[in-house]
Amino acid sequence: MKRVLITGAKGKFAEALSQYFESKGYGIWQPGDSLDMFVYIIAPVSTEDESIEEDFDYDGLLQKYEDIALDMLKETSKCLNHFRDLDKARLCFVNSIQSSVNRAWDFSGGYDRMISAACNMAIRIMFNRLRPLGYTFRVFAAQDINSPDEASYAAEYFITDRSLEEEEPNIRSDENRIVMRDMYEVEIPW
Amino acid sequence: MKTILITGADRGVGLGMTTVFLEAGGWRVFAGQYMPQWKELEELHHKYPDTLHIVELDVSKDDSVKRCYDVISSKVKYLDMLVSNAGIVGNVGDIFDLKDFDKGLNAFNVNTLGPFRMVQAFLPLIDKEESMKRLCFVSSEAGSISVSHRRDGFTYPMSKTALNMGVKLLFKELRPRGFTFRLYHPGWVRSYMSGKKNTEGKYEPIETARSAFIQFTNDSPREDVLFVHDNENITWPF
Repeated sequence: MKRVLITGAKGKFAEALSQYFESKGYGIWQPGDSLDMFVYIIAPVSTEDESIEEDFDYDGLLQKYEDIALDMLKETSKCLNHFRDLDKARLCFVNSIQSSVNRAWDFSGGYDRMISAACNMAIRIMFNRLRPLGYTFRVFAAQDINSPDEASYAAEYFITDRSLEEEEPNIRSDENRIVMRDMYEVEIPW
Repeated sequence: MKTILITGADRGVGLGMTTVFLEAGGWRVFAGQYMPQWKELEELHHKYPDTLHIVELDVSKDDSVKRCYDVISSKVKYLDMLVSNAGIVGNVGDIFDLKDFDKGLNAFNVNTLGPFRMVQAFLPLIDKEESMKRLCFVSSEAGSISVSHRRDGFTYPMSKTALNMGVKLLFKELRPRGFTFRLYHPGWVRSYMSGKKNTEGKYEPIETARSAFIQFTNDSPREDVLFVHDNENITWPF
């Protein structure tokens, strides 16, 4: 049985994701098990616009960065030695669609989006380091991480393999690109 | 005479920019000093005693930024340009062997939150009819997710990505109010980011400071677009 570890932000999205994986025959990873898929849910950011003229809680933002961005790095690092087979090891991340710097103006949200954007950079660096070792990556851009509605879409995106041609690694191999996709599989620019 | 505040002016790119603005004339320069033991800024003050004002400033601390505002607002009625330059390297190593998380946290505090502390504090002094209303941020190619090549370190690039996101949000709010923005990648500079002088860089700090001066002081025909431009005026993606 394949095993998945789902960690990061708790809540309805995580619960729905867990149920969907189980319905697809995955077991939830327990210490001592071999791991096939790691899923980290990056905590949602505020969706209300925030003005620079409001008082910022800088200590709060620092704490949030530690709890979200640095925690994601720590948890991902911890999981790496548990994978059964590096050629099938998959690292998956759920982030808010508001994390897109390019499309920052298309979505409302506060300055804590700086943290979710930083998480995307961390994922990119992990991809640069780990893809050559065999790990594959998925980044799902959720419209609303507080809702369970998109979890099945995320899970299917995580489970499904993408094109990978060993002889043409740079032109037709989607696994060798790191992109963020929403529930419609539309690529969201970084 | 125009007025400018440059953070992290003790050495490297910040000192270079301070020097270039003073040499150009027509600018009253407030230079944020974090390291009073580093004497180059004092030496520059001997050369420009009337136009250079050294102000104690640690952008990672709310109260230091507030004190800096109190000092400058007692001397001038408005500020034309704010240059958020202060930055540090702070990385957490390889994904298989992460360490030094306090350094990673500090990089976010200085490189990302520092510029927003400054903008928030100084907004009343910049948002004036007489002011040029220009906000300049020293970012880095390291913050570009699209073309990132790094395989470790993590937190310095993360801090610059976060800065780019924050500036994008700031631009959305303040551009309609007449503010203009510069998001600048200084190139690979032989500076002191890691604490000691980097001898392997491509540019001396004064070289990239001259490029910054041109970009920061000239108006652009595309002020409604937020770019990351490097010292050779090349555009970098987010």
